[in-house]
Amino acid sequence: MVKVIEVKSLTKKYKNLTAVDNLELDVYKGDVFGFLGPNGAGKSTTIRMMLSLIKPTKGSIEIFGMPLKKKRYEILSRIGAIVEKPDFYLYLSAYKNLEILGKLSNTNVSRKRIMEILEMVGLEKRHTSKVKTFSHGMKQRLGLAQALLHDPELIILDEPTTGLDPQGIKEIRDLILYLSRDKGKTILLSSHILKEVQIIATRMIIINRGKTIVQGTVDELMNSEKMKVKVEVDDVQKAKSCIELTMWKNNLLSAGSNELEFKLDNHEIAILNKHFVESGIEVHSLVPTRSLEDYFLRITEESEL
Amino acid sequence: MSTLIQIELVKIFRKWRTYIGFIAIAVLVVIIQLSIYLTGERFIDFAIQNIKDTFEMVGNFVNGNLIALLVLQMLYVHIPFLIVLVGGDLLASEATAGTYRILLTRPISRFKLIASKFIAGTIYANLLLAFLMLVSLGGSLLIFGSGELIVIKNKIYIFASDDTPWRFVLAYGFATLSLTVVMTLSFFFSSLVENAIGPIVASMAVIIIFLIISSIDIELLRQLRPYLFVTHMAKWSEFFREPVRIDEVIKSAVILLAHIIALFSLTLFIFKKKDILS
Amino acid sequence: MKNFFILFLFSIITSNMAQIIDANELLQDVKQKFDEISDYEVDAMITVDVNFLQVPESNAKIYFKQPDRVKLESEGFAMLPKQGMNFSPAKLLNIEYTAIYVKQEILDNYKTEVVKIIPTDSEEDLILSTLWIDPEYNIIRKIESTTKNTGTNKIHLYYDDHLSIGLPDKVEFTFNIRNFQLPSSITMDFDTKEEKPADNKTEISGMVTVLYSNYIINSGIPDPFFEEEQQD
Repeated sequence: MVKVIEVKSLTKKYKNLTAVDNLELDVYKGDVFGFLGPNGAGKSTTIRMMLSLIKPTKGSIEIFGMPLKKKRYEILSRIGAIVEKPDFYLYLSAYKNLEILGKLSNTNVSRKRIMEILEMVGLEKRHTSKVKTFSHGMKQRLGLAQALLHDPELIILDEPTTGLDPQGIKEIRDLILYLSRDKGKTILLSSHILKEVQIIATRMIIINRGKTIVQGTVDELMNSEKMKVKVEVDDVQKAKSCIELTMWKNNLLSAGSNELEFKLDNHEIAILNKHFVESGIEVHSLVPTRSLEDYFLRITEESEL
Repeated sequence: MSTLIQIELVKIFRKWRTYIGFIAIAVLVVIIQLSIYLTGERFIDFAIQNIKDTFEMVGNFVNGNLIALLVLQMLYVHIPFLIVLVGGDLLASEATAGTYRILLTRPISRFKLIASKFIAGTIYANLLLAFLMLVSLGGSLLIFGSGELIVIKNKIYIFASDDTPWRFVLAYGFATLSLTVVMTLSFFFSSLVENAIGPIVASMAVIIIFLIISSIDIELLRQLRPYLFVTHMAKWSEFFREPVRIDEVIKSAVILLAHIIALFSLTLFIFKKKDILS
Repeated sequence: MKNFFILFLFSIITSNMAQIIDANELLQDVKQKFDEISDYEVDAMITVDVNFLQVPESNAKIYFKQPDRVKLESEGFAMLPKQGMNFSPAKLLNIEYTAIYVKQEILDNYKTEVVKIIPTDSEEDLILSTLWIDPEYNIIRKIESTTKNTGTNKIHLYYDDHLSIGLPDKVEFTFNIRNFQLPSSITMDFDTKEEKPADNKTEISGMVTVLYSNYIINSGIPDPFFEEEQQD
């Protein structure tokens, strides 16, 4: 597998704040790479460092096997990006904006190409309108257009669905899948919503407070993982003694006044349930939570407090 | 690079504020021309009353040359304010609008971006000056005709009408340098902050403070004068005396050029190190 | 011996007496000669060389009509010192004065008679005028005047082609004016303040040279001509 992005011990410090702390990150060719973290986790700072908008305090970034510091020009020629909200020259038309950005992209972007891209994002009819007349959704789509304009190999999308309606979110998701599957692009997608990434990403990283929490394929992280399962029963003591001599004892994490918590995989939940019922214990509820999801929910909630 | 400059010019000239300067100059020049046309004779008579007591004089002093000179004098202090409107906006507006993010993620070097913005800004400043020259000198000569140019300074100069064009050309040429300093100053401020108002106000404040200091006749402040760029900006008027102290002009030109280079380098240094957080 | 001395003294006095020339007569002859010209127009090339004044060489037409009407006309710009321009023997001799013959003097290789004129009216601006008169042609070759208001001035006249009609080909007007109030600046300069005297008063001195050519004499310039659009 060819590494497209390789980030090593990347650190960005502001006066007394460490925004990104020894981050390690690898994106392989063909990946739809989910870059997850709550707001303020350091996602944008990392992306800005990958795009040379911000200088790292420490660490290295290699893209396409080249150090960003030295080969910025070559690297940026092959990347398309949206960084945070899509901003354009409001006093210029959509077409003019793309024309300017095309000229700066080190490739020959023809009028035909601009119109193709505008059509692809559904803005071809508004190409002469000034961007200041655009809605947020339209700007978001124009943002995608500018990122794709010069047919880049690597597409970096920073929260591309923010502020979009469900239909818009679906459109973007479909477009990402199209770019990945049909066009063979490598995509780095940042988000603070696990679900969004989980659906389309092949690999992902979760960061918080600038630090890597986990990194791996989505399958590894999401599906093969044992879940925490809360089992609410009528008699906790009876339930405990019922599993005392079984292998379930090893799966027990804790016991409360009316519930027990186990660590189980999908398959085991059904068997345990059956075991309790056959032992005459009433099971009121079974609530599985994936620890990652749970964890992510918690840090997201924390960050929003 | 030329593409970049072109793009920067497009950005400048698609903005409404760019035209404020041109409109202001057109309006001001017409007002000045009109008022001189109506009261110029009296104005000149008053100015040269003492000479007329001693000398018999004939000639039409209220002519295009005089008006062009008066316009240049009056507006030389004010055109900088029009230039900072655009100069202060050059970098800060990209920060305000968030367009740094789509601009600097393209394969262009920051040096080239700064240089092309600087060049585009300088082109704007000089177009403004050329426009002033066109309406004030061209317009006045067309309406009022040519004639001897009377200049009253440390002594009274009367320049033959065929002795004035080169003076105007060189004066405007020198003004180019002066206004480029102003542009560079606002450009520098523009690199420091993320809104356009700050650099515009800061540049104006610097110019106003320097102008005030340079016009107060107190020994201590007078000693400061050679160190203020506004003092050197005024050296265009050297071309309207005889003999032209060319060494003075060159000295001031070098100082102004040094300001441009220093401010540009500083801007470049700051901008190259800048983290784009907007 | 004593007698001899008296005789000697007497002879000196009488020999001088024999040469005493009537100043008024000299002046009258000059005036008479000048009166032959009732008017003239002439092309003038004016060079002004005065401190505190930097002007280009100018071409003008000067019109004159007896006794003292003058008009300066130019397509562009021209300036002349008022005293130099207004000068005419007629004007000078129109006032009440006392004329004193001083001496004979060689001026520019010409024999001239020096005469001083003192106005009798104390209201007159002129305090004293010294004239160098060439008795051969009845022309004035030089005038030095002192006035109350404007200091002293010298007019040096050179005759060549127009000697016969008594009009100069070149005049040098040298003057010196005390307490000349400089006009207020109509330029905004930050750096020239120190060059000006504190009270803006100065002494102007210098020379204006006028070369005359193409005299047209007695063409009968009508009076109203001097009234119309007097460009001053």
